[in-house]
Amino acid sequence: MAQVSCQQPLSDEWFDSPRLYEEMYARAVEPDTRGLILPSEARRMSRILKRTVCTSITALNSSAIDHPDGIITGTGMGCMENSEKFLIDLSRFGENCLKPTLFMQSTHNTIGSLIAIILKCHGYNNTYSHKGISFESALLDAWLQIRSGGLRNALVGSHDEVTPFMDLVMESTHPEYSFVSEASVAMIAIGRDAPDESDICEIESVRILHRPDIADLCRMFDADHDSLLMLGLNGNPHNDSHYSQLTESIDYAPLLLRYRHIFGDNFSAPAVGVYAAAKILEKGRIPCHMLANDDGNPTDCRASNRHPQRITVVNHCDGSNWSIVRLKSVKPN
Amino acid sequence: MGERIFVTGCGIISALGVGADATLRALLSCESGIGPLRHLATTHDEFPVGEVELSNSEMAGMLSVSYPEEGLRTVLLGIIAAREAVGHAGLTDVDIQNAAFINGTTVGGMDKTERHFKSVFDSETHSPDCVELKYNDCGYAGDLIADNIGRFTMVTTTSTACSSAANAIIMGANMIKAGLVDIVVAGGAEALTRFHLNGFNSLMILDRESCRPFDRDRAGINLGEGAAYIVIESERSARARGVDILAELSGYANTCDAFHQTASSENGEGPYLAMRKAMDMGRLTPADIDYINAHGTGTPNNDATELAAMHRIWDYALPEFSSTKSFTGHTTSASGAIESVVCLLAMREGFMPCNLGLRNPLHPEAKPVDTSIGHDGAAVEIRHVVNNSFGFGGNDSTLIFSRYSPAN
Repeated sequence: MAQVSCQQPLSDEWFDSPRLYEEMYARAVEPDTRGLILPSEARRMSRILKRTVCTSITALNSSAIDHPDGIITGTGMGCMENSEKFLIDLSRFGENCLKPTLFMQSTHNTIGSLIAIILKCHGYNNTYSHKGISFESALLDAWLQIRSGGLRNALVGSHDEVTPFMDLVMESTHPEYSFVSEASVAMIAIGRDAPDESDICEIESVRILHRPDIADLCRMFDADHDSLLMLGLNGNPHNDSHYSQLTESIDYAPLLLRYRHIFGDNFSAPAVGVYAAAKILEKGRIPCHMLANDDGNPTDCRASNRHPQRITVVNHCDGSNWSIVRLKSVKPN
Repeated sequence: MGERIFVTGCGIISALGVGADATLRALLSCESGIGPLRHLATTHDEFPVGEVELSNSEMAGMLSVSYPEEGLRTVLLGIIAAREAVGHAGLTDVDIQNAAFINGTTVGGMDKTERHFKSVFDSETHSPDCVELKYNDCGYAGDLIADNIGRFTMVTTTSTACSSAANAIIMGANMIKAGLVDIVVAGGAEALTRFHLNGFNSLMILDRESCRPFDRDRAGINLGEGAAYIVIESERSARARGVDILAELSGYANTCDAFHQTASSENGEGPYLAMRKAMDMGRLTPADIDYINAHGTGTPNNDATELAAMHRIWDYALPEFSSTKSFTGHTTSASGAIESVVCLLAMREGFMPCNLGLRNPLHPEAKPVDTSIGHDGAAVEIRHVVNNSFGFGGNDSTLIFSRYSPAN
């Protein structure tokens, strides 16, 4: 697993000493590409592509897999920076003399294809682009195919860049957002009969729901499996009210965790949520700053010492699309 | 390979017209839908295109939806095709509540974005037009189409450029096999935009004449637009609902050429693996394939790669094959679904669509269907068809549809 975000890149420094931002928008902290991308190649890549290569190669290096059976990518906006540049050229210079490179690197699947080209992977390669459930769609695909035996393993990632212009636009288009940032997350999913010591955690299930009734949604949760909920809370009532509707309607009191206070909002944010939850299970403790009330505010830290066995990561995208990813610790109890 | 996947409905809109019947009529009479630009606001009127005849307001009127006149053509096209598919399969509201909708698109709401981009970008501060860019991302289109049809339990979007719709169908089939849902409405929708017309033009792969797939002198793509969906479902569900089964989705595969972002390899590794693996899944041999609906874009690169891959499998004894892009134009993200519907119609009616525009085949052993087989009432039996969709980045996918037989 690896992340590039507004936190220290390719690192889990955020766990105990997160960077805090006063601004409502922060770009990602760019990773050091040395040793991960050839300088001659890096010069030709847009930011999102560099970040994707860095997180993907780092994740692969930390696993025993060189050539994943599948490369499955989520991205809400794709290669936004290049798309934006192409649109700027189109509006400034008209429909002539446009640069092919910008177009070639503007489609959503540029990201997953680039990794395949670098790794020479001829296997399954798919890209999902559905707002804030892009990552979960990719993860669901990987999970289904690994369980069926169609894939032994997969590189699953989600990547979104937010340009200053898009941040400006998002103020109008995403009133539910709060602190906006960027995210690139890559992880290796492997199918095994029994957990291995090297595993970070187990993915128990992945569910995506479209406009569920709150009652139907509540039925998905039970006190035994879902006592620890990692929610996409961001402190904005337009966003958080959907979660409080859920937590107030379920018939037990789960402990709530948050992650967007340090990683921010964007279409790939749920990937960071799953990454952060997996880190908690791997380390066997909860950082104090991640505990939250359902209003998104920090709560007292007493619960942080307990050894978490399961985390259920729940995100919604403007209240319409929901995802539930259940993670389980592989460490002995 | 586990659960069988059946096709029980289809819907389509393209330059050939609205609906499966209009599409069939055009295919049987070898009438191309490609012509001069009418709706897209571009200076590049030198390129012929496969534009859908209807304007946005005509489509909105047909559907009684109140989208602003200027936009979201992808959504309008999508709703028309999805309604037909759902109606054809006889899905009830309850069926839809337990079904998933998977849409393939890359352009999404780009038509609206490119109309408003300049004013928003130039204002440098908060412009009221900002909100118009809300629809830019692909997922919005999927949600709007799905919500117009009914209350699907899950909606998502694949975006792998020109193989998006094929990959939507593949994900849908995997979800059914895993028992996650019994019914999936899958396909793709894509409207023409200045963005990708200019993008393809910047790559210098648009033909100023009508495109000529698999011709020795082929000179590129005619872009097209449209939408198509198929309803796929588990055997149990199709039997319980007692509906007609149009075909079986007997095999499919998604592979990657892993060669270049916009060019395809000389030996056709990606397309070769896609066709090979799809046949393996369906337990089919090369001799079982009666017809290939090729990706056949008409670019020198694609058609050479695709043929190289076909020769690797069939040597020089190729099955009948054709590209229908000279009928519809290259409908990019929708093409995998549009051509799936073409394959289903060809199987049902017992004909093979001709490869319009062909003057000189690449060589005598690689001659696509020229005078349509099975037209004029002399139907041919088509048991298994291969439908290829290849995208930028080498995202190559193959779907195989087979004539339905109860015992398999």
